[in-house]
Amino acid sequence: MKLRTLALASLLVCGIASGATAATTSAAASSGALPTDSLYHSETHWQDMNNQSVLLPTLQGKVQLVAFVYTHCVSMCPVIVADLQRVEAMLTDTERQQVHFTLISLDPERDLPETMLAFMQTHKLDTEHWQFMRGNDDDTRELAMLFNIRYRQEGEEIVHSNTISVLDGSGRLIHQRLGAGGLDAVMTAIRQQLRH
Amino acid sequence: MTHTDLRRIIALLAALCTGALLAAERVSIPAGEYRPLFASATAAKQQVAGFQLDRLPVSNQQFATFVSKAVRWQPERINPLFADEHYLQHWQKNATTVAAPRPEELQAPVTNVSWFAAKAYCQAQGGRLPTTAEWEYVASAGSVDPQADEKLILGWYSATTPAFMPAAGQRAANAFGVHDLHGLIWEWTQDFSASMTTGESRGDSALDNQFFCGSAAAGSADPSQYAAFMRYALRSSLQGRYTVANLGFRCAYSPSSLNAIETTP
Repeated sequence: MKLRTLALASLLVCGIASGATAATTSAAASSGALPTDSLYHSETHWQDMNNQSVLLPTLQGKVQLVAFVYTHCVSMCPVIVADLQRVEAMLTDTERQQVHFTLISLDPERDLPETMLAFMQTHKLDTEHWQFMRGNDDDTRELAMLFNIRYRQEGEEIVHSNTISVLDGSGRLIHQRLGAGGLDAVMTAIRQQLRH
Repeated sequence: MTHTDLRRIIALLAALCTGALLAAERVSIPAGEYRPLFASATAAKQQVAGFQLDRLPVSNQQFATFVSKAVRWQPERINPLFADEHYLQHWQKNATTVAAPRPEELQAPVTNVSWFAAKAYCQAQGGRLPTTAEWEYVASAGSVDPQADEKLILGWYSATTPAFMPAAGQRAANAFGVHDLHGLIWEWTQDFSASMTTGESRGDSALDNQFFCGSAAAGSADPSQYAAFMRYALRSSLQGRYTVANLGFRCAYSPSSLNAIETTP
């Protein structure tokens, strides 16, 4: 009896002492069926331009084109977005329904949901086929690492890899375009997936 | 349930409590500034906002407690995307084939952990990994004897990793009250990869010149910062999946609007 009380007491003490150890909730509910090398295993949390919460496993199903950009970017990002739009223009209507474009902010501090939405409107990116999202610094760094994207703050600018990535329907990285050009290879990668 | 069982549970709870109490040992670091390595003496210093930092590196025991709940980070289950094959290789498999730290290494800093695993641990504590700027800022504060500090650092950098990692917290704290930033292990930082040269930005070639040409010493704020250069070089050579026998981590905490992004469900 005494022992039981003691156990209970130590449980209580523990509860108080351990503070906030977050339960490891996960997107596991929907990530169970993912292949081992799916990037959607990354348990990162995102917020999109409509202030909606996004978990990566929910991106399953469509071929995803992913690029890391930020709205204050003057040099490289507009070029990356224009390239993605060129890809979109090359898709047939049927293909376009099976492809989705995801932009990830490298500047979550300044890219608020309304900022991301305004950027999409400025560049005429429709919210049916495109999304723009941000996460906290840790999560942004994690996803960038999984995509082999390197970036760092340099004064007002963020120096970053100029990369377009193609993921298959289950989140496997099937193609990366590094540097300029290379849109034909991106198209080939997309069409190979859609034929599967 | 027998009394022996109960005693075991209580002992376990006590152990867990100790771990939890230790985990709560955070040091408040006031805002300040530091001059990054390779910034020329005229360059602006980097501002670091106030934050909290673990007094000690995360121990094997603390990490074991974490993976007992967060099973995806157990060495038996780790996804190869998030750690290489040496992940927690110094833990021992017991009869039930679940690896656990050796008893003599419970209080030693956990090593052989990937960046992804370190990040997940810190997030579970409501924290994050410290940025390189934060880490270097705190590490730049010496103890009372700068020359002894430098000796310790350089002596350790040229030593081999011991067979058993000693417990953390045995050396004097630095001026901030933080222990073991030098002399025990290397530590992950949130943006360690930012120091990599990408080979495609305009700034990189200049950085490379500063590194590998004769201008390095001239351009660097403090040519004697050999130790900082060593850390920089290590960070540049790492990838998030890598695990190293003398590379561990500690967590940072700061109220950030982005740490818990509010969204409408």
